[in-house]
Amino acid sequence: MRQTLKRIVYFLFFAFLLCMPLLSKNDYDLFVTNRALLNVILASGLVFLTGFAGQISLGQAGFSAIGAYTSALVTVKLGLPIPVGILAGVALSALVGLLVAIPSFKLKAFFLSLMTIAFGQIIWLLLVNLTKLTGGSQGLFNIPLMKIGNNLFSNTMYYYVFLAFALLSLVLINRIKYSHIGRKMFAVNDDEIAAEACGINSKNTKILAFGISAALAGLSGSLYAHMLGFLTPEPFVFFESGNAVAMAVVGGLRHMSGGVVGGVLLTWLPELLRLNIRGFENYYLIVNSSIVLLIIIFLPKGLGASLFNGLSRLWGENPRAMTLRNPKGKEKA
Amino acid sequence: MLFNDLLQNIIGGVTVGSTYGLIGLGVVFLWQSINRINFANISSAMLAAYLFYTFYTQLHFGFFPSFICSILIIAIYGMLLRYLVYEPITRHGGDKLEFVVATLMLCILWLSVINATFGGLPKPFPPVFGEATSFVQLGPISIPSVYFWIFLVVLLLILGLYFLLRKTFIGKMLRATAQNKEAAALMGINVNLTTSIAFMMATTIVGIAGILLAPIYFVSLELGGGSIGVKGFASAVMGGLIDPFGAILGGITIGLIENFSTLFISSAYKDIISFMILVAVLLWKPRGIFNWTTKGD
Amino acid sequence: MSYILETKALTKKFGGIVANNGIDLLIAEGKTTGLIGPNGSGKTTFINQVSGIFPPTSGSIKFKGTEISRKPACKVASMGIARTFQRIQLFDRLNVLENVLVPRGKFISSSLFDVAFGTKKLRHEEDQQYEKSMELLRLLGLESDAMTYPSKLPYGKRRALEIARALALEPSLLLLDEPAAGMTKEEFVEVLRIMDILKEKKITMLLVEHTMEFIRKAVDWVYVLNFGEVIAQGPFEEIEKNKAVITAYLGDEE
Repeated sequence: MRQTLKRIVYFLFFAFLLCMPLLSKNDYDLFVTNRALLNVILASGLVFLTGFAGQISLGQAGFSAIGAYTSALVTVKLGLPIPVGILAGVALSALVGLLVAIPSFKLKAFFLSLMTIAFGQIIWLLLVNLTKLTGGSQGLFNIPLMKIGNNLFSNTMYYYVFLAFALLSLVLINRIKYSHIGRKMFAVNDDEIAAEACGINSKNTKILAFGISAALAGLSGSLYAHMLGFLTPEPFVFFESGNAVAMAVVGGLRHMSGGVVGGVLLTWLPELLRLNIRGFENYYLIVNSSIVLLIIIFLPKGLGASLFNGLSRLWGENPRAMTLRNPKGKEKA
Repeated sequence: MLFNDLLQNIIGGVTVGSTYGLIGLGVVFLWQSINRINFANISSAMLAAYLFYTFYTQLHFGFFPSFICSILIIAIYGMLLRYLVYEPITRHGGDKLEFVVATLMLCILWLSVINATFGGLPKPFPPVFGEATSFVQLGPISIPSVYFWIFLVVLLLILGLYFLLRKTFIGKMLRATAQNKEAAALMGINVNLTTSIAFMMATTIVGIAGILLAPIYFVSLELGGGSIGVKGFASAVMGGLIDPFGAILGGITIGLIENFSTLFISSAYKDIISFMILVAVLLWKPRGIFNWTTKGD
Repeated sequence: MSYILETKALTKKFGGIVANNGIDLLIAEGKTTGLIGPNGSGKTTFINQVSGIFPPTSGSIKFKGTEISRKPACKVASMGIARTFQRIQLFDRLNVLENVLVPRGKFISSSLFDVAFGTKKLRHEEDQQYEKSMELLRLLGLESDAMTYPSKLPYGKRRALEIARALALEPSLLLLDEPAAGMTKEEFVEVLRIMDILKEKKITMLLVEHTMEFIRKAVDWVYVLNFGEVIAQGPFEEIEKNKAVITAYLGDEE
């Protein structure tokens, strides 16, 4: 009985996802949803990096920027098709992620966060100052939008593309989590010395985690570039890196759903506030940061974990082990 | 380069740099006390500056009343920070990262609040430290009177801090709990009180630094933002996060390097300097450079 | 007699403190060697160097003929030296089975691509390691606790789990750092039973212990450390009667 309930809920949820465009009142709402999907990818990468592997990054906007500008330049300056651009964006951000991680692997928490802040700032400064390449503050324009034949994608079609990418990203993270690679990351996060004693190269594990989360950030950036059609350094300031971490924390670092909940919530919340709070534009920012602050103070473990624990109890399932799918036919503890 | 210019740069660098060091102290005190990093550390500086501006310029209090009131409010803010942010987060199971993000949000919140209340344009700091253009003549060197006063206040503050930490019981309490909370508690030290003191000292010192920096950076959002905040972190890191006087030295180093680098490269890149120093220290000396001034405790 | 581990003049200094001073030690293959000494004599420092936690100040460590003194811990572990810790260091966020699966990753050759695409190879290897891990748990009496979390286990079982995790590496040499520390009488008997199982499997062990009673029953050859130096070595019966050893332990009789 409980199992059927679970299946029904999941079915309804996926049906909702598929029909989402039909339910949106207007095109702008869909645009915000699309941005939310991209933030889901970005935030899930952070949940992966911080929640699973225990590394902190306050510079993810830098990797998004690399993905975005790389894809833009590849398609604009080299005239290559969009999929190639996206691939290049993801590849380069992954590579830079690995490079940043290499000297940083021995830095602990706070120092690592400073390093990543510095990285994010340096990227931003490069974006603003290498005007020949990036167009500086004026921006980079005429980035090709997605289309089939001669028909430009509508927001609806962008939605399905982004949904597909988001689902793929989540599947990837899910597969890594429930594998020996994920186990290594959890072990290193839990007790680095004991992990080393088990033969795990903690340096390589951390570097890999950085690379993967950078790749996901790069993916969200690349897709963003081809949705908007132009790029400025503005969306890649430090604030956005901080926001990304806030998404991961609010969504919940312990659970796969953290990136989803955080990404959706922290994309929609400011929008809803902005549209509904009349008056000085800054008020919405005050309310937004207050709400996020309150969520963290009262529910520091995040909303996603609480949500899923509640749901698990609803359909009478014991919470899963971190890196094991419920094993075939074995009795649960 | 005239010798006078050199000396002027040094004085300027040391003065401003020491205030960066004070901001770094806010980081060090909190790290030593609760093992957390407060990303809203720099907000105390901005808030204190705006409070002073309000008391002095809008409400026409005198200099000292304005100063005292601002600092008192900032001290209370420190207590609120502990009981409204740190304690609840810890009680509900949050750890270092959650505190970091919460304080990040707090920093943004304060920037938004100030922006909404006072607008985004920087306000001139009232001429309490002498007119902006007046000088103090010391032999062949003329120091802008602002710098002179700032240096004086910072010197008094550092001396006071030294006295407090080394010679008073409160200082012993702070140092003991920083080293080992359980042992300190067993020795009869009120760890709870000490923690509150640490919080208040952290915000107050940064607040004073904010008021001191306001003549130079203006009463502006810049005071509560990233560029100066990073300098605070960099100073703290140079002191190894453990050494208050190391943080001051770190700040002075940053101030000096900043000042001298503007002779060679445009001042627009001034902020990169502190980032580069930060990265360099993190990569080559993550334990800090000036982490020995309080050894032999 | 072949020696699986050989240290020559192994010295470790921490600033002014000499924790290990010129230790020459041999571990015979298939046997259990004991390393005893009063508190602070440098036993854990010795194990930390052999397992690669930090390098020695001077001297050499040869494992199966290869010099390992400058190798990092993960390399030493993958070469075949496993260890337990004085204060049990388990992965508290992973359950019992997962703790044992962690080192089994050594035997999984699937790459990130296998994981990403969920290949048959990965599934096969995961199943294999699952079976092997359960076998190990069975060996040490932990199979019914497979899905439990370490923090919920009694102390004795946590120790057993740590040993199981070390065994999961299929080591040629097992370093046990005070496995009987803090045990009740019943847990003590349990650990001895585990030692018998290990000896039955002919696993070469270096046993660091503080209490004589445990050593007596477990080892073939003993080294005695005091103030970082080897002051005696031999079979336990001789060591027991050794004047220098008794003096070192005076007041430390358990």
